[in-house]
Amino acid sequence: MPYSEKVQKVLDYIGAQIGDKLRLLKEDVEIVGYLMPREEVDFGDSDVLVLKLDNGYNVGIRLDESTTVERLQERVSLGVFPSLREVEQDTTLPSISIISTGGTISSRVDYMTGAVAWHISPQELLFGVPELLKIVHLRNVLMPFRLASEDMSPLEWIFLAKKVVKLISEGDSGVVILHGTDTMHYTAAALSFMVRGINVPVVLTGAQRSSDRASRDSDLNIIGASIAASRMNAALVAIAMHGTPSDEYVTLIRGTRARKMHTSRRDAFRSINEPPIGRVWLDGKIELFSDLIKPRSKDPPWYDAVFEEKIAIIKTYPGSNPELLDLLVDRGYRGVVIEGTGLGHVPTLTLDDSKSWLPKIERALHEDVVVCITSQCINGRTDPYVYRNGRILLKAGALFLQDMLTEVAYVKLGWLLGHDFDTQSVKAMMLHNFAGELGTRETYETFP
Amino acid sequence: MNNQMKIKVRVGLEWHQRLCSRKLFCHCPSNLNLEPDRWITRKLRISSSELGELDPAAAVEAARSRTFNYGFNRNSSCLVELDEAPPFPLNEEALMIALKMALYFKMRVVDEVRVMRKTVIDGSNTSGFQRTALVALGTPESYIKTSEGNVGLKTLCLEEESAFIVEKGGAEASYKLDRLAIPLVELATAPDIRSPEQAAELAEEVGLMMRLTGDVQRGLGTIRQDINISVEGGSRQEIKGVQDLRLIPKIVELEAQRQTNLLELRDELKQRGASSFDKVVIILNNALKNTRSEMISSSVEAGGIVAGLKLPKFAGMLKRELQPGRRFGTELADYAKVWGGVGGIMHSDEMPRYGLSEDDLQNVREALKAGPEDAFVLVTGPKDRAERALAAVYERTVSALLGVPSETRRANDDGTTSYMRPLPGPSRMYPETDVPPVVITSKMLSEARRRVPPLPSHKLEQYKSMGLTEHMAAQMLRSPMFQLFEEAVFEGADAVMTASTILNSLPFLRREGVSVDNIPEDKLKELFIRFSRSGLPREAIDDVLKIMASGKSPEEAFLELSGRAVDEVELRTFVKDLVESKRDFIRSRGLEQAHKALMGVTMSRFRGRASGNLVSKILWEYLKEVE
Repeated sequence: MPYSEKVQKVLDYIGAQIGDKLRLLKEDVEIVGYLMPREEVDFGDSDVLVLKLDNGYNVGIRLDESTTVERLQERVSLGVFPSLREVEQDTTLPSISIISTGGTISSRVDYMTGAVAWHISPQELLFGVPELLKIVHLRNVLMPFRLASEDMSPLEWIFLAKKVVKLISEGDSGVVILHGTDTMHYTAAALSFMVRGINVPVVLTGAQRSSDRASRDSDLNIIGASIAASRMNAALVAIAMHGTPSDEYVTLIRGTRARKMHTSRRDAFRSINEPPIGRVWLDGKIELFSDLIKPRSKDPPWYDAVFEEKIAIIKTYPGSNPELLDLLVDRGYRGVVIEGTGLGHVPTLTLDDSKSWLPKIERALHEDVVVCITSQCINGRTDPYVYRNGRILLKAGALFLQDMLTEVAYVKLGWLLGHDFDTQSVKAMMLHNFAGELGTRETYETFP
Repeated sequence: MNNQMKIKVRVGLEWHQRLCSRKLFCHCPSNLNLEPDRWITRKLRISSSELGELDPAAAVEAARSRTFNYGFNRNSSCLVELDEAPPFPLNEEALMIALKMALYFKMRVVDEVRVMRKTVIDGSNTSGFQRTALVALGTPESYIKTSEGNVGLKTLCLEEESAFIVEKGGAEASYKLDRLAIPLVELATAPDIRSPEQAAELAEEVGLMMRLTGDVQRGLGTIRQDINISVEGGSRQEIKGVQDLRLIPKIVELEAQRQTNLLELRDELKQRGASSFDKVVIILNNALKNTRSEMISSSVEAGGIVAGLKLPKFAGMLKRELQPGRRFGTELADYAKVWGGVGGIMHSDEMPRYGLSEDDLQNVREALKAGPEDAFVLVTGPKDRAERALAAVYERTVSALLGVPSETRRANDDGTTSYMRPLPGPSRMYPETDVPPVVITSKMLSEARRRVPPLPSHKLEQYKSMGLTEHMAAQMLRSPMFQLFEEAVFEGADAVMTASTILNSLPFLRREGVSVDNIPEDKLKELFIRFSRSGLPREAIDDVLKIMASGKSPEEAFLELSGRAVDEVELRTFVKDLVESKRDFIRSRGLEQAHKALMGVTMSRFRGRASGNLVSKILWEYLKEVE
C-alpha cells in the first residue's frame, strides 16, 4: 500500500489513478503534474503525493487540509515500451543462445517511473546492443526465471546445466548466461561441475551499473561474452566482466576461479589463485593467456546435475562457538566447509576448552560428515603441516582443500554428495581436479 | 534590426551557483586545486530508443558511442564520481543552503525532495546523467523587482556540477573529475524579461542575493547563467556557459537576429518550392579520384571516404549569414562536428575552396545529380563518422524547412552561439532510485528560516547607519568581501576605513602590481581591527598592505612601519643568554611551563618592538637545545 490510507481515500474519491494529471492548489501555489506511484518499499512520507511536473521533475507535495486536489482529463501511460520491429539476423554468423536469469543486466528501465522491466526477446536484446548483429546469430533469448542472484538456489543451477547441454546439442557455438553478479561465481562453479564433457564456451556475464545509464557496463560485457562464446577456441565455463574501470576489454575468468571482490566496481570479478585465462577486446580480438585450456570439440556434453542441500559453509573467528557444528550434525547435515584462518586453522588449543573446534570436528567426522577446510585469506593455499594446530586437524581427518575457493568448495561438495557415493570416495574426489578448481602452481603475479 | 522589432522575444534566465559544501552525493571536498594523477576511459552508450529509433538495423547506424577520458585525483574524487559506486544520500548541508535560498526568494519549498536523473550524453557526467532535484517552486510572492517591472522566479533546484572539459576532439573528449558533483543551486525565472538591459539588471540583483546568503563559492566560473530565449513564431533555446553578465544583452539580441534570419530563410525556401527530401548519401571517392585537394586525398589514403549529400533548392542558402560571422553553413558544420566527430564540412556555397577544381565540382554535381539551384555538402573522414555527420546535416537541413529547432547552444565570446545538443525534454528525466527521497520537516524549515539573510535593501540601510555613504554602501554590498567587512566591523574595526580599504586601496594596489591577493582574509580582518586602534593616519594603510603582501603579519607590518622593529640579532642574543642562565629552572619546570614564563620576561623587554609570534618562535628554538 504505497500511499497512506488517508491519501488513497482522497484519490479514490476524485477517481484519480497513477498516471492521471492532477491540479493541486496549496495556499496560493498551483502545482500541476502527473500522479506517480510511490516506491514499494518507501523511505519517504506516504501522505505525500508524488507528481511529475511538465518540466520532468518529480516533487512530493503533502496532501493536507490546506491543499485542494482536482483531477484533470489528461493522463500518461506508464511502463509501456514501444513494440519493436522484427530483426533480420545474419544466419551465417556463429549461432549462440542467451539465457537471461535476471539481475541488473537483464533489465531495462521505464524512464517515466524508473521502474524496471526485463529483456525477453532477441529483438529487445539486439536493440539494446545492436553490435551483436555483426558478431553472432542470436538463436534464442530465454528467460526461464528472473531472480536477483542472491535469490538463486541449487535448483536453478540444475535447471541451467540441463538447459545449457540442450542448447549446445541443438548446435550453438556457445552459450551466454546473463546473471546477477552477487552469486554469479557460484553458478559458474556449479555449471563447471554439472556440465560434463563440455565442448564449447559457456560464458556468464552481468552488470555492475543499471542499464538506464549511458555509462552502463552491460553492453561491453555482453559483447565481450558473445565474442568469447561464439569464437573463443576454449571449452569451459567462464565469467566475462570488465577487466578495469575503463571500457576497454573484458577479462575471462575460469568458472571455478572467479570471485566477486568488490560491491560496486565494474572490475569486481577477480581470478583467484590463477591468472585470468584471457581477455576480449571490443574490436573482437581474443587473447588467451594459457595453453592448458581444452579446445572446442564436436563431442557433445552431457549433464550430471545433482545437489545435496544438507551442507553448509561456516567461518571460524576469535570467539566463534563450535556448537554451530554440533547443530548441523544434529540436523543431519552431510558436509561442511569450514573457512578457517590463515593456512587453514580453526581454534584448537583454546584457553577456554568450550571454544575449541577440535572435539566438535572429531564428532562430525565420526558421524560420517565430510569436513573441509579452506582459508579466510581467499588468496593462497591452505597447508596443514606448518603449524601444530593444522597437523592436529589433519590427523583428526579434516580435508584441507589446497587452493580451492570456499564458495567453489561448497558447490563441489554439494554436487559430489548429491551422488550415491560413499564418504571415502567423496573425500577423494574433493581433492580431484574436475574443472580447474585445484591448482599446484601459484606464481607471483596471481596476487596483485 | 527592423525585423527584430516585429517579433516578440521572451527571455528567462537560469543561474547555476556553486555552493560552499562538500560534493552533493559523496564526501569528497569541493576542491579544485588538484591535478589528475590517474585516467580512465569510458564509452557512453546511447540507447537507440533514446534517439527515437525503433528499427534495430538503423539502430546500429545510430548507435554512437563516443570515447571519454576522465582524469582524477584521489584527494578530490572517489568511486562515486567515477560511477563505480552508488551515491550517498543527498548532502544535507547543501540542501539546507538551498532551502535558505528558497525562503530568501519567497519560494514554496516542496514537501518531499526527490532526486532525478537527467540524461546528459556529452560526457560531462561519468554516469551519463546529472543528478538534480527540484527543491522549491515560485509563488505570487517570489519575484525580483527591476526598473522595468517584476520578474517571477519559477523553480529552484539543487544539482550536481558537471565535469570540467580539458580537451575536445572529434570522437574523444577529456574531462577532469574534481569539479564533478560540487553542489549547485539552479534558479530559473519565468520568461518575464522584456529587454536585454533588464536581463543584466536582474542577473546582478540575483547574483547579489545569492552572495548575501554567504554559502556560495565566489570567483570566476562559480556562477553561470543560462539564457532561455523563446521567439514568437520561432522556438525556445537554452544558451549555456554565459560567463560574463555583460554579454547577456548581446546574446539575446543576436539570438533574435538568428531566429529571424532562419525564419526568413524558411520562407524563401518555401517560395522556391523546396520541400522535405530523402537522405541520399553518395560516396564520391570515385568521382574525386583525380582531385588535387590535399585534404580529400590524404583522408582517402588513410582509408576514409568522401561523401556528399544534395540539398535540393538550397543553393545560396548556406552562405546566408545568421549572426555576425556565422552562416547557415556554420550551423550545419556544428551538427556534423557534434554528431559525426568530423572536423567540419565543405559546401557548395563556399566553392571553389579546399583545392577542389572546377572539374572536381562538376564531377561532384554529376554524381549527386545536383543542378544549379541545389546546394551540396561534402564530408571526408572514416566511413562511419562521415556518414553520421551527413545524417546530422540532413536532419538539420530538413528542420530548416519547418522553422527553428529547439536546441541547447553554447555562448561564444562575441555573443554568438553554437549548437551543442538538442534541448532535453521532460522525457530525459527519470527518478534516481539509488537516493532516498528527503521529507522536508518543519524543523528543517525553521532552521532554514533562521539563517535567511536580510534583503539587499536592508543591508544597504545597515551599511549607511555604520557611516558609509550611499555610494560606498552600494559598492560594499556588491563586493565579494562584504562578509569580511561585516565581521571586521563587528569586532571593532572602523567601518569607513575598512570599506575604503576594501573598495579603493586593494584594487589600487592590485593595479600597481602588489600581490595583495596573497594576504589571507583572516589577516586582513586582523589588520582592520588593529589599524582602527593604532591611531595611525588612514594614509598609512597602503604601506601596511604592501608589507603584508610579502607574507608578514599585521603586527610585524606595523612594527616595520614604525621603524621600531627590533633587530633580530639583538633579540636572539637576549633569548640565548636568558635560556642559558635559566637552565635549571627550565629542566625543573619542563619546556611548556618554561616557555610561558620566559615569554613573559622577553615580551616585557621588547614589547612594541617584536611580535609575540617571533619571540615565541625564537624562544622555542633555544629551549629545544636545552633538552
